[in-house]
Amino acid sequence: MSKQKYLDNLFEPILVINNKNEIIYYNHFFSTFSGLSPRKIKKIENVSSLLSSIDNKISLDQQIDKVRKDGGVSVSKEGLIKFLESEETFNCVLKVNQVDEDEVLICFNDLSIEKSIYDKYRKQVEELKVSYKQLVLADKLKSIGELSAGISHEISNPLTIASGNTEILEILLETQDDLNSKEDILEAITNIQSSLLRINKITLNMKKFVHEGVKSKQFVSVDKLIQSSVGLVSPSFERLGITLTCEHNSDISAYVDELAIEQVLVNLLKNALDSVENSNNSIKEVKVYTSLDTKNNSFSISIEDTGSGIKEEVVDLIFNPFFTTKELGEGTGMGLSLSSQIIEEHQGEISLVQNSDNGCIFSVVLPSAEISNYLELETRNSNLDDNETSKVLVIDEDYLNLNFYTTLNEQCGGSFLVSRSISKSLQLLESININKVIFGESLFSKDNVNSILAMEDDIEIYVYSETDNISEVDIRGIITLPLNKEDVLEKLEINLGVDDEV
Amino acid sequence: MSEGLNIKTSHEDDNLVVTFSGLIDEDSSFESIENKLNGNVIFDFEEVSLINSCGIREWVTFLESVDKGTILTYRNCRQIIIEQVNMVHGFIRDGARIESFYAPYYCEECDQEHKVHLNVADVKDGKAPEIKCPKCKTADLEFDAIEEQYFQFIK
Ligand SMILES: [Zn+2]
Repeated sequence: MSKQKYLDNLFEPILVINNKNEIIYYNHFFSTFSGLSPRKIKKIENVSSLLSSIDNKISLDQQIDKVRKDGGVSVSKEGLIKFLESEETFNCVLKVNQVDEDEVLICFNDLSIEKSIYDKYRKQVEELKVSYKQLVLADKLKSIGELSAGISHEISNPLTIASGNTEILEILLETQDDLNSKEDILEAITNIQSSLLRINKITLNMKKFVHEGVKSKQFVSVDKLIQSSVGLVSPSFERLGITLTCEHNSDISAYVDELAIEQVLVNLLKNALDSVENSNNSIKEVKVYTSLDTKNNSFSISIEDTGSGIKEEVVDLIFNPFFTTKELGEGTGMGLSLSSQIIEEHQGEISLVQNSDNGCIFSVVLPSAEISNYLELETRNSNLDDNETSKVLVIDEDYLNLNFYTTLNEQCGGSFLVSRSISKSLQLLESININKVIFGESLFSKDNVNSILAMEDDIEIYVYSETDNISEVDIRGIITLPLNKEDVLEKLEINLGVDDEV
Repeated sequence: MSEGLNIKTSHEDDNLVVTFSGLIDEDSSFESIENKLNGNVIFDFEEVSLINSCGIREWVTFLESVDKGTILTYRNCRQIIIEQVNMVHGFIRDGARIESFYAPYYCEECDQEHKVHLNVADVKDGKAPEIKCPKCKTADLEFDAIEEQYFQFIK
């Protein structure tokens, strides 16, 4: 009996029942916890009537029967219970334990607070997600607003050309007496068409930029990313007479959420523009350039301006939310903070790498496309290497093809790793066990296949239907172009079994 | 506001009376009285309907902000408060005093539960004082909890 004194000091509710299911002991805390006074507990003839399971996840009777039959311990699921006539509910896990031949111990683990805080947390996270989405959109709209003067200028130029050419057409048609005018008419039409195309391109670019897309990563050329961001800001640069130069490096590819990275670049370019515009420095120029860091498997995009730099005392604050150097009401101060959040979501880093009276350099460092893709797969499949499904490496330079496979990963839980180069592919093979390799047309060669097989000789090789010289190597299968899901999965003999929603 | 915790203050002679009502939980904020208490302060829990362990965490943090020279008295502690006081060290700070509280009683004649308002001085040797049923006025009420546990805080 003295042992029960110990139990009375516990902050965990405990009951002991006998073979007749009568409560022969409860500790002090059980009374407090259940709200049942000793008087009420005494009236309970059978422990079966003690509590009811509201969500039917807990059956105390079954647990008791089980431990009586098999011995040992029975732990219930987490479920909602209430005691006797009480209205109060508890989220509990019940543990039933055969302590000796005729006594069974019942322990209650009350998780009500955890559950309610967890629910609250989930709700707040959802709300935060919504606010974040709104913030991202607001930032984009603000950027477009600030760039609108330049953009409208960019539209009005071709509009003037187009309307001028319609006047020419009118005159030509009124006076169509000789055949010479046919050439002039064609020229005017060409001018109108190209002007309209220019306008169309600008508006499409804007529309895409503010589009609230689903967050999804794609293989994309870094050049293309820069070009579409530059396309949005360059009219504003032209209007203010500030030079904007881009250095090209068509070799770099990224695996990113294209729109999000564009938003970051537009933010950085716009800041650079503002900084140069407000500076008295005689050189007015912004440069965008990229560089590849093969050693660290990353690349960077840098934006260099000739503005007056950022004041020493605020340098540490620039990535904070709501920080702005602009007049009240001009900027939300969210640009850099959002940008750094977006880059962090890409496992990258944004930083101010140089800052002086003669300008700044902001740099965005992102992991190489192959690494990003690998990390994403790894996160999704938790432990990729232990995973049962076949792991397929796609070595292809074609962005459309690569994105086909990453979409398969996303939609059907596939395990496609993709790469745009042989050297990167060999690196991936070093760290992960690959079963199959698909070669794109441009990267297929006997040497390339052999270098892959030299790493792992039982890898199965696949090529596309349009590939030449396939007779030189041992091919496991030929995949039909253009790519389609059924064909690819069938040829690779992969069963993802997620076709039920089709 | 019906949800959450409400805090009102009033004066009673030389004492500042702080009345709490509603829930003391993880969302409770004691900001309105933090660093504002001194002298003789009475906490009144008459209207408190719920307190959970997260609320106690907030409460303990709040108590730490109260000036050490402040003399604290707890009044009208509900059964849930007493249960928490018995469980969590720090709900009542050293030197503070509980003046009055509620205790559960039961009348067998009327088959009715009563929450009886008691002064700490009424409890002797850890035994619940004898109370006549306020309804039938004849039967003796039976204490409806475990005395040894319920009166732990009176020591
Ligand atoms: Zn009575």
